[in-house]
Amino acid sequence: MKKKKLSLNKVAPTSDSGIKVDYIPSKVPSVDNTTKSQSGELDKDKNNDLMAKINKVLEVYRKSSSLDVGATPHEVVKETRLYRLLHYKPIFDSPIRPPILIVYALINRSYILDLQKDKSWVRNLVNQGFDVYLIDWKSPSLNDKYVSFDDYVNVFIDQCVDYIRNNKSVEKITLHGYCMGATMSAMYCSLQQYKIKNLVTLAPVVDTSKDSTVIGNFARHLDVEKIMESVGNMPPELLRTCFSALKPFKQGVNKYYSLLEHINDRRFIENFLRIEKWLYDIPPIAGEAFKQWIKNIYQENLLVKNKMKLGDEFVNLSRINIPLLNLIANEDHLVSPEGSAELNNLVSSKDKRIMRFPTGHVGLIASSYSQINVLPKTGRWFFLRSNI
Amino acid sequence: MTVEQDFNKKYQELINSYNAIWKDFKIPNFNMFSPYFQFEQDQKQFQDLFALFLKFHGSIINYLVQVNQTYLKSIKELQSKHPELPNFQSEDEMKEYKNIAIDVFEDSFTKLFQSNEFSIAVSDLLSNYSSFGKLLGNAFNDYLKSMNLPNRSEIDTILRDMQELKRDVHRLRKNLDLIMSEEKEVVLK
Repeated sequence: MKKKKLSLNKVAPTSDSGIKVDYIPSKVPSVDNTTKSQSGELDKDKNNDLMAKINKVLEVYRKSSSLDVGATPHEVVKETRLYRLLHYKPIFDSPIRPPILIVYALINRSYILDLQKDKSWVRNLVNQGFDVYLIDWKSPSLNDKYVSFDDYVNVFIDQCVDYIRNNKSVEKITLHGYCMGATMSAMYCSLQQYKIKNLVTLAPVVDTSKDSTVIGNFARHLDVEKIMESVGNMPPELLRTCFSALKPFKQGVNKYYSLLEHINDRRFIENFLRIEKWLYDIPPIAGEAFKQWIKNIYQENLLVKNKMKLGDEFVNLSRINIPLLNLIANEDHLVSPEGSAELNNLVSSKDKRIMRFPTGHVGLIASSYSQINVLPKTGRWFFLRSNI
Repeated sequence: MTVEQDFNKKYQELINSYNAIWKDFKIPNFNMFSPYFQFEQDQKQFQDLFALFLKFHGSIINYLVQVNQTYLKSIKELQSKHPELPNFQSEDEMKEYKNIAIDVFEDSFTKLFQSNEFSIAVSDLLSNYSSFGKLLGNAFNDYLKSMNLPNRSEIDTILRDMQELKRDVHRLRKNLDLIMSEEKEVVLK
């Protein structure tokens, strides 16, 4: 069998989903499996096939310079040192009201909600006719180490809510949070509910006594005060180490094997690289906020006991009586599903619902499953509680 | 008396006379008013640093022992599930071995990360490391003092106050907006 020389074509940089890759490697030629020699030794072509795949993986990593993420058209309508408020361009002149404000978490970056065209939570909501805003948290510096949950909830989220209310001339908006952002949204609702019409939470961290995850285990024993005193803000390196302990082999090792197997699948590579970019794009977390997160929520479970203090007031989730939709991932290994579900027991809303889905934490918002199964139901829920 | 015995006797008398001098000399008090005072403080810092370094070393060992034990346990389990090494010439066998290995290691290490002992070991490691860093920082503070520069805790005080002021300004602004809007309503009426 002739040995084929592999040609690496220089192709036009952009793809449908906007990924800019300096070149896309040409397909690895498939090898006929029936050419195994009598001695049972691996055919030389198979060896070459494997080496070619490995080389292409390395080339993809080396040459893929800029990745398009967060590509849904938007504008930055408000910006401070610690956040940007993004407004996504509605597809209708009169989008469905009330507007939706998405509160992302303080961990990793918000573009996971708008990762790529066919897996964008935000884009799907915009396409359903909603008016969507997103708070994109910026990286805190050492000057911001005393920024606490009081600031994030009562100052930053409040500023964004007021901006939208004034700009859109509405009295109330829909608050929609993900992970830690969902917890902050629930805290905000308990304190300033008169500005909120509906609350939608995605995998919120609520009752940590039911948390059986690795993160919960680490958090319960962490001497967070001592660490924050020494480092100031929670460094990204420490967060990365913690996250790498979650499914270290199935996700940590096996994913590279999957990449090798699917090296000819362009869509797979694009999606893989975007997720990789997001996984390693970890900003620091403000020291005081992180301390409160670990101590008050994970170690003392104050949220459930209505003893978590923000500013001068205690957060009391039972004060929430607006419509609530709680979306939970049953296979979530970051936030315990039972802990998230507890939110529905703590609020006093009459119109409250839990929707459970057989996905993981990130799969709930950035997967094909989410586009087909989660978002249509979420959109319908929003629609039924909107002003038409 | 021989010369040697005489020497020993005189030597002993000399030692006794030296001991008599130092018997009433109280060294701890001497440190209160002499340059030795700062030296004692610095020495204490070094002693603390050394003690902490030993603790840190111990916590690293504890952490590594747990990780290594889990690794050895995983290897043992893998051998029990797949006693023979795979035929590296067959792709299917390699895949099967890879899948079994990943499952075995995943289960073992997830159990380790979910255990109390490991999370305590990690917490000890991080807190000893933090204390170590803090002590080094404290030792450096003397140099900052001599250069008339503020140290970190002094800057932290300023940052804390500034953050509180920012919160107060936000609240005042909100109250002012509320009052202004109420006044507007009254005027309109």
